[in-house]
Amino acid sequence: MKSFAIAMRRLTLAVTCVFGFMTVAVPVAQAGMISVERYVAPGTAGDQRVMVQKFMQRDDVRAQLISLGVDPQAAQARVATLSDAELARATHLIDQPAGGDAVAVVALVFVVLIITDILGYTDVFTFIRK
Amino acid sequence: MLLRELFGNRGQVQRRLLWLPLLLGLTACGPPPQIYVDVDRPALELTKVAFYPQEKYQCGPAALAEVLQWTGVQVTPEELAPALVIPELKGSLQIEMLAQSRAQGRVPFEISGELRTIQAELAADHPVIVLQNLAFAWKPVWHYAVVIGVDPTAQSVILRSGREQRHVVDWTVFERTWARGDHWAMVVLKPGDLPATADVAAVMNAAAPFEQNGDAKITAAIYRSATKRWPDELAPQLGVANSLYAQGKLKSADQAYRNVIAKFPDDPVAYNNLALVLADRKRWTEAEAMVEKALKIGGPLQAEFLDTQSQIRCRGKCK
Repeated sequence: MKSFAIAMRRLTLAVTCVFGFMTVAVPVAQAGMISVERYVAPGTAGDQRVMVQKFMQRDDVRAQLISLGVDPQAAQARVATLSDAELARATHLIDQPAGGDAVAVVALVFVVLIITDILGYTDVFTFIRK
Repeated sequence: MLLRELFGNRGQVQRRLLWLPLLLGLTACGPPPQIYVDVDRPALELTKVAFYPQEKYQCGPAALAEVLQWTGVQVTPEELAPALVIPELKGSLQIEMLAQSRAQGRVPFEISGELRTIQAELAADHPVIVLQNLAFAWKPVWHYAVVIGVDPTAQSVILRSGREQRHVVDWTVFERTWARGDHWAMVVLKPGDLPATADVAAVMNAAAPFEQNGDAKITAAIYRSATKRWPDELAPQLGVANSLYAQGKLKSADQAYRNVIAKFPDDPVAYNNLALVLADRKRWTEAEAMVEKALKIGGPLQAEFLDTQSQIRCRGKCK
């Protein structure tokens, strides 16, 4: 076996995404300065951060993080550098309609996704049934 | 493992299992995958890429340490692992491979999933981290490895992989394992070094997290390189000016925005940002005139321009 199993997911999102955000989300320097990211994609940003932050502050979500071996505080540091675009991917998944297959999930995958599926918020694991 | 690597997806596997007795005598199964490769490129191998034999579940940290060292960051897989491995998942997430590269002061780029893209990056001295699924689509064995070479003559790909320092694999086999990882690939570069194959949007996206984080020296390096490669694009030049502003270099920023305006007089963004620089310098009348130019041009950021205008009108004292 040339490699060890890596439980990983092709969708690249992290649970993690979350805690760090409000502390990092400082615009370039002064309110009103248009960043390159904003210039390139004027549609994004805004309420997503609040939404993700609220989600991640829930006790059940924090408990899931801990059960995955991830310290919620450490998670904050790990994701401090995610971009708006990466955040948008997370938000999109959190925002999916309910209907997760909790059982199929546990072995495989990746944090936000695992959490959201277990809680019945998403159903993003269809790829394994393709 | 050979069978696993040869089979493409679950459906194919199931179909083929029906014919397993027949297949056992054969070496090839089904049509070969489409491989986008540049056959005219000479064989390339970055022999000096570091190698860390992978410990259990540490292929992410090992692969990342190998490419980080290539860019001059002296870091080991053990040092990376705490921030990269999720213990219960026994692996690392792609998004964290990107984030951890940034935490190490290097700039990660996801690149397109074709072998010829990898060849072009290798030719630019960029080893490439790839995500492979070494087993089945329905029972994945995810693995990160570093592509250090491609040999069109031998039709092989050369990897730092797991415990093998020089893993040579037939490129059709590599293609299948890589395809099951959605052809995910990344390069990790020094600030200012750009992927051979990235377009301007990819480079701007790579700079964005640093911009958010206030790492203005890194963004400045990225944007400056991008202005050289894409002199006719606005975004990199805006980025250079924003980086100067973020470093508190108001006069230089002022000039940089004026350069952008001279080159792209019909785009409102630089007027808005220049107005704020002028406001910082207490040149209120000029600032107000400048933001009015932005408002006159308008566009999707009009709401921001109006905010800028009200900030200037209250002389920075309103909240």
